[in-house]
Amino acid sequence: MYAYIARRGLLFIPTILLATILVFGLFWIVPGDAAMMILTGEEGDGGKVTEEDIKRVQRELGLDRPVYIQYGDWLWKILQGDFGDSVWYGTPVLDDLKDRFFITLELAVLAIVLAFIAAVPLGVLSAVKQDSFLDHISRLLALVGIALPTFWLGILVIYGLTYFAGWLPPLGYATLWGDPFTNLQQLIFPALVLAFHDMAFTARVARSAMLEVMREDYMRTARSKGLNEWMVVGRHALKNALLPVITVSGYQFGRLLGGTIIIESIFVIPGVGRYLIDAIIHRDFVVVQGVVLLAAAVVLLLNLIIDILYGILDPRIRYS
Amino acid sequence: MKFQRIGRPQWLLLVSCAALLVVGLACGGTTAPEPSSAPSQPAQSQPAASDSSDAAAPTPTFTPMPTRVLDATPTAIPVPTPVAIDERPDWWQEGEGKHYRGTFPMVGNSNPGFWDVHYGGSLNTTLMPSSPRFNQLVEYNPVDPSEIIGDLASTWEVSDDGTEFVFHLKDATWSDGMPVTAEDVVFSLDRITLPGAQRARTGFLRAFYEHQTAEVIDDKSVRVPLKYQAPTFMPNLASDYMKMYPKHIAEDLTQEQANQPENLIGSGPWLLDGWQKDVSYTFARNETYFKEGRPFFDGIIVHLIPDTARRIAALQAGQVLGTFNPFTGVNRPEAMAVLEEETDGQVRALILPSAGFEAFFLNNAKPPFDDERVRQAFYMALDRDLGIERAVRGFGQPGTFFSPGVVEQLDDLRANNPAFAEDRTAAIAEAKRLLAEAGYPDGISVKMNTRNAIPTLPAAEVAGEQLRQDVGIDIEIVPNDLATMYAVMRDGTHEISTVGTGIILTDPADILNQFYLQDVLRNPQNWQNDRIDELIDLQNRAIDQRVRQGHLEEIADILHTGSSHLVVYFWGGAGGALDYRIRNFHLPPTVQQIHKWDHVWFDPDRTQPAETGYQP
Repeated sequence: MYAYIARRGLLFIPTILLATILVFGLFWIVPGDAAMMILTGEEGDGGKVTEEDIKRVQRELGLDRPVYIQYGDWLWKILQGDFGDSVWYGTPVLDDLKDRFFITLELAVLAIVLAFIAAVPLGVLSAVKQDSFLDHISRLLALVGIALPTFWLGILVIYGLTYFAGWLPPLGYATLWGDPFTNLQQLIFPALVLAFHDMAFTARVARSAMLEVMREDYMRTARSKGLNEWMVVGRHALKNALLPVITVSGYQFGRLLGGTIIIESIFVIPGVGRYLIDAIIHRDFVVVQGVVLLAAAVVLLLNLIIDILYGILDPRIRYS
Repeated sequence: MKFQRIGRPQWLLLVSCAALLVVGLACGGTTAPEPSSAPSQPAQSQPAASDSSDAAAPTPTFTPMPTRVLDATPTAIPVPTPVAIDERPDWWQEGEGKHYRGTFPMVGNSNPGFWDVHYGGSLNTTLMPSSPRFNQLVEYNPVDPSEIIGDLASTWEVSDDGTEFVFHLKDATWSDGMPVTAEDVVFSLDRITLPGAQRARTGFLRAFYEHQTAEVIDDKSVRVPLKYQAPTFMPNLASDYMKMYPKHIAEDLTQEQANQPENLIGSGPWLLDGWQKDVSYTFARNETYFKEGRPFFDGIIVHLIPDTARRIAALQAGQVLGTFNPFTGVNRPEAMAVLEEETDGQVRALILPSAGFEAFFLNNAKPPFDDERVRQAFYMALDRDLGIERAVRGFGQPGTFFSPGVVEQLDDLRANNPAFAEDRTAAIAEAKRLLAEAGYPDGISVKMNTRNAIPTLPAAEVAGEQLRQDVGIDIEIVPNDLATMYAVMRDGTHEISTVGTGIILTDPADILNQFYLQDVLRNPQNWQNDRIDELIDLQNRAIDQRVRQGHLEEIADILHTGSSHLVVYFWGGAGGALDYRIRNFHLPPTVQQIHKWDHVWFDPDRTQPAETGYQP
């Protein structure tokens, strides 16, 4: 087990390197640059811009150097714990990331917990009462959740709150420790929107996993021992059906931590997603690289945790 | 073993109930704001002087004093004889009487970018967050923006030949208590015109003022010589970007330091109180502001909401009092009009009809648009009215080259130019003839490099479909983000590019500077016409406005042959919204003007005006 964890840990390095090379390459390939954005302003109405201006700003940003040198320089600084400064704001990326990551983490935890606790009962009931009215409703709900884009649902929620309640989550951002009640008001709706989508997917996975497990021989054995149905389902079926559910939830959690770009914009949450979209708009490649590095690390870490959880949940799984 | 409990149905029910409880708590236990009440923060404050026990009735916070008469010059062009105006007009006294002990909650859409207004060129990320902290030498009168009045300057004189100005300063102080002196003004003018430095908006001053030629006469007087007699000097100097900086602070700052919020200080009505990236920035009233009694409330908080739907919802739910700055391209006029309806007039639409234009940049250095006849065909075939109707739902005016009504008259164009006629038959026939003459009888196929933003993209789609149907100009639209759009336009690989642009001043010089000089961003392939170059120079120097108008009309006539690299589609509006209880905001001529917020006040007792739209 420990050897497995160590091996997976070592795999971090080439995977993250690959991710950073891809991001670096993409920024090199696409037209447009940070210098132009700085000179023309966000609305592109910054007045006269000459080739000389562009070259000067590129030189100031270090963009006149060969790409591999830019990349190498950046990587070397990362290894020293320096994520660089935002080319647009001039502030240290690591400082910004620290603040924002915990906001996104809070949102992601809330969303994934809500999704999990709604999806598992829904999936289980749907499987146990297969082809019943409840099953049909559950499947319909799951279908709607998957089909409805989260940004659209987010806008509908904002519209619904404004139109029907004349109320919206408070503006400004309150921290969990500073003002937990306002913080909850601000995060619960985006979390619900995100959870609805994830819940739908997880519920479907839970249902199909349960259906598969419930056809196993040991289920018949459990029933033949005289256990009541809820005991059979809860103790024997659900435990075995949870493995794929955890896999899916882990993936979803990683995705949420990478930044829920649109939802954070709609609900005015200053998390990683807004930071990333702002950086992309401003061609702030230093920030984009930092965020991607963080997202890649988080996803890899979560994958590792899920693999370890597998072994705990199912002792038959052994790591070679 | 513990894990086995997860599988129990009781546990599942328990956690589901807990989740519902959390949601219920978040939704339920709060006080929803009254839709028609004052915004949250001001509503908690007393709207009157502190010694008043009557919270509802505002009480004046000053003792009325005799009106002082100062010599200032309320005119759009410099004239030798200053005209006296009342520095404390009635509205000033009324504003002081309604001083509001609260903070205006407003909504913006972008984080600040560069805080140095000499350097940055963006309305949303530079001017809006920075302007309230500083003053200009002269400014557009906030209650009548067609006039130029003194800001830091109390009076000024102009030499007989119009090439030298002497400004006399008011007794103003920087926010650190140091006096504003003539040294500061000279330093600021030289900083603005510093050779080689990026000066996105202020660089135009270099056309009139030679670096390091201004002189200090005494502590409160400064002499500013011009390169030539220039009627557009004062309109440019009054721009909100032409801020005066304190020499003792700014001269020690690097450009990087000046772009940070905490380093520069100003003499303006507001002090920066804080900025939380992606959340809000706040201003506190400058208690030592030299315009006594102003501003008329205690603070401003600008909530940063990038999403349009959420921004509108904040206005609708009464979370904010208005848009800050009222006009930016992100607040569509049509949306603001709907907002006014849906809030029963609580939130009033502010619509600036000609804030900027959508235009097509034809690559005059590459086929097919290197042929003047093809450019003329494009100009002729474009249905500008259709664009207005479909891309901006009627909130626009057909694409004149200069601000509508300033040089070209639309009625004349409708009557005499087939491109603007409502009956499209002649224009289409002429466009087809020109294309055939240029060797394209079956039309052309081109790619259009387009900014992927509203209303540029819908405008491109409407034009593309119309031109294909009418004259066989088949356009493939390639949407790009702003930086990419400009990069493609600049590197010369584009055939047509399209992007909306705002204007700084309604003065035609603004258009000429941005679009018809050589080596400028918006003339990427250096289209040039000898006569236009000559006329640009002549109009710059013409002191007689009638003579200048003649030069400008001749320029317009040349441009309306359709031979240039630029075809203006339509002038579009910018929208904004203010609560009807905010008083004294007057429609500026462009989105870039009147950004100090030192002349408006909040009147909780105001009855709703019967007329639609915002009323000052």
